[in-house]
Amino acid sequence: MKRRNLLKYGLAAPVAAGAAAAAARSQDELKRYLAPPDGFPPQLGTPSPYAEPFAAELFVPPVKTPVPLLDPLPDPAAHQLYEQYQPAAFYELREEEFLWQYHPHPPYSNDGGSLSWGFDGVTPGPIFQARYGEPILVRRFNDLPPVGVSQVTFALPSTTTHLHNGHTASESDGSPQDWIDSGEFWDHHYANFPSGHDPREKLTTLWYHDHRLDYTAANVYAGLSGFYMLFDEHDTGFEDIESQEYKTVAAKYNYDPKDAWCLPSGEFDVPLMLHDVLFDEAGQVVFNGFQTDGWLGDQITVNRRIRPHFKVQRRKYRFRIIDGGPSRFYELFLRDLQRDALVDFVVLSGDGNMLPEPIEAESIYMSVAQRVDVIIDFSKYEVGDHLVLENHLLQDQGQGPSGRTLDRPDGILRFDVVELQEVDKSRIPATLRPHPKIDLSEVRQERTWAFGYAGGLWNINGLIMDPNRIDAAVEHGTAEIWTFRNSGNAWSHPIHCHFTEFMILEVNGRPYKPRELQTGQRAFVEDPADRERQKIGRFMGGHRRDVATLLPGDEVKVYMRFSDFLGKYVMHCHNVVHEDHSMMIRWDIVPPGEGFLGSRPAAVVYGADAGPYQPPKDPGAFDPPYPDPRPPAGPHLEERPAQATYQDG
Amino acid sequence: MTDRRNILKGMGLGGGAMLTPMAGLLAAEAPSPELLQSAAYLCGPGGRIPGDIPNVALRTHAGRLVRFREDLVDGRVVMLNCMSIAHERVYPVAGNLARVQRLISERLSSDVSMLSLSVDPRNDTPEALSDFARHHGAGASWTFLTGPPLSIGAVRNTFYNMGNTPAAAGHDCALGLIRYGNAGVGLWGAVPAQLDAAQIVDRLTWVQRRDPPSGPSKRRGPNPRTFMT
Ligand SMILES: [Cu+2]
Repeated sequence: MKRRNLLKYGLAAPVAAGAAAAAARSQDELKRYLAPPDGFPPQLGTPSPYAEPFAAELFVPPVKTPVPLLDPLPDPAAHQLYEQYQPAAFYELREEEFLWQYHPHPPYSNDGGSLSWGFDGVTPGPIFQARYGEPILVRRFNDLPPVGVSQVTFALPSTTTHLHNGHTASESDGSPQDWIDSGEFWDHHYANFPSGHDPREKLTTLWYHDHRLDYTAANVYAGLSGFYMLFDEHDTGFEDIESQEYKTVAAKYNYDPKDAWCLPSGEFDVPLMLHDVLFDEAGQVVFNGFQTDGWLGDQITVNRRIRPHFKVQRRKYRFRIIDGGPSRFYELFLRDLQRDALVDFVVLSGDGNMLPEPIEAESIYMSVAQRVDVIIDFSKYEVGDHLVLENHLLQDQGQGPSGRTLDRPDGILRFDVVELQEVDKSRIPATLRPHPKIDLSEVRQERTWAFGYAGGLWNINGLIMDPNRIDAAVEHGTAEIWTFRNSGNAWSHPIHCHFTEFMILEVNGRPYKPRELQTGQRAFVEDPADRERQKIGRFMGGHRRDVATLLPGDEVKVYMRFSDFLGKYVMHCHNVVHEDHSMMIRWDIVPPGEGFLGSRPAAVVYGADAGPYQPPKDPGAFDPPYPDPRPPAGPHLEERPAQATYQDG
Repeated sequence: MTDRRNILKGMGLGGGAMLTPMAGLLAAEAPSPELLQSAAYLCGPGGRIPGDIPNVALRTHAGRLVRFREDLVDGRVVMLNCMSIAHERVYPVAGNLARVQRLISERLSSDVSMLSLSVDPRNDTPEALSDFARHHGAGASWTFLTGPPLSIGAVRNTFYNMGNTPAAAGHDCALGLIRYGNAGVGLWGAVPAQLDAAQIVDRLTWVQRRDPPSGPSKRRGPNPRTFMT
């Protein structure tokens, strides 16, 4: 094949013409010029060692439990709205380096497994089960060995953890520049109230992951990601309202049992995080930071096990599927192996946003960082039956999927049906959560962001990420319309904006209707007259999202509201290799009247004393004395009165 | 393996461009020592391991023949950018690198190897680069490199891996992107070449070896100003 390519590119002809002159040279020396080194294979040119599919058992991370006390205490003055949302529970989470078993067979099982990073010794990290109305504080410790000691050498042991897509105060958001080094900790305060106190703004499935400036791809790939679930009076976390556990929680939070959706819960509510990983012949994780287009692995891992199996009882399960990246897109199908037939998913949510009603979908299309909650009912199958979650989307380049389908579907998770232990009391409700209204009277600004490429860097409006520069100042209490435009016709960008979900207004210039679901080039409009559960082909996330999937040439216009907090946030491509090669901007929420278009230095906007943050010389400098003699921090912001004018599509 | 096409182009060996070195070679023009050394390294028994930093021979602006990996990279904190004197006029970077060089000497205790690799070896001779280096006040740790397209291509294709896309071939040599890292550790990052020099130097500190922390964990933040800094 080498020879053939050389011929194809015209190399052979001049060689032949000059053969006489070259004859004086030894054949060996000439060969050196004829056969340039085979040292630059495509990324997957050196595949991972074989790993038997479905031999590994699915790993389900433990649920995180709180600690009674943090020492030293958190600093109330460092957090917006801390007094109003005092933590009801405190957690300590530790980032660590350890050996991880991606697969039970050699070489993956050799020497204890693959060097990895994670939280509390596992990857994905422990599951946070949080509840609306119950603020929490998570103290994250960087216990990773420092540079030169860490054995995961491709990643930077300096971290900042973002809760994607929490409605979180800036200082707890895990901003790219708010990092901690080995031996340091950071307090993340999660107030757990919906944006603008609007219950329709509630979220369900979130995930936390590293967001370190320039090193997000490497650090997340090394293992720094985990799950965060949010419950409320509807999505209670209990499927049996007669259970004592439910009654205790209902009494504590004043839940009405009539509100409970009774979705599959507890051990039947299983998060699934997809990461594609490349391994060397020793079973160690390979990453090439010199690759700018994106990084692909050939071993699809689910909760960091290569193509595992999972025993499921004959009943309903809720799966929370997350595309953890770094760069791979998926189109997921479910196959019944007995009948060799594809089975529909019942889709509950897109990007953590409950749909107004569950829908049935043949497939789920996911760009990086997207989440979809589904219900799969295994009661229709016999004990011993197998179903397989398959990926059908071909992607052999980091910059995005090819648009083609795999010749042979890639089975990434096998469900093995076993006997039911107890009666399944879970239900699939007919309706879920209405989307928030789009109120165009709140819109104060429109901005357009074009995603491009120049000089080896991915850019946004030609800008490269500078954490000290503000590229958009958004006024608190307003809404804006942002247009995300893919300047390229060969690459894809999953665009993610922190802090707030958006409602899609237009896709490629065509208005998006409230009950419409994006299914690739086509859009499906639900028929409200048909009260049967709606069925669509490909589910791409729905109307309300936090990731806008820009396929080549796409333009997506969204509406978003900014309330409750002030300060810095980011918007970026969630192909995290693109993000690390500068496809990110900083934007800030500022007081009303102080917004602006265009870019300004943060030091100018916030005044001369707001220079870059320096770590304290005295490690105890920010530790408040106990008891704290200062008056409690006042509310940073006043609540905004509700608006009356709505556009209802 | 569409890659090969890119590699050939990237090395100046693809398409029409490859005719020049090949024709020169076949016209019995003596190949330069760096070409011979590099070809022997790249094509010799065993070849090189993909992703490894190539040990190709290059010529410094002082005219010295060097092996890229052994003489300039191994065991050091390194910054590498691709450049050309002609391209500097449309995309100026050297002035910023001069500021970086000054800040390194002010802020860092250990040395950093600053490497600027010309992707225009036909025009950027050692003499031309020497003038250019003098103009920008390059000190002992800032080395400009030139050499045969084969060697330059090998370095470029390692540090600027754009995947398999045709668009990435040819002239896209990522002149806006500095690769930096600690070769002794194997940790590498990237930073835009036109970013504020102080922020570039910050990154060099990130990849330096550190001692494991001692004592209880320290609070890094947040502090009352975090949300606006
Ligand atoms: Cu992107």
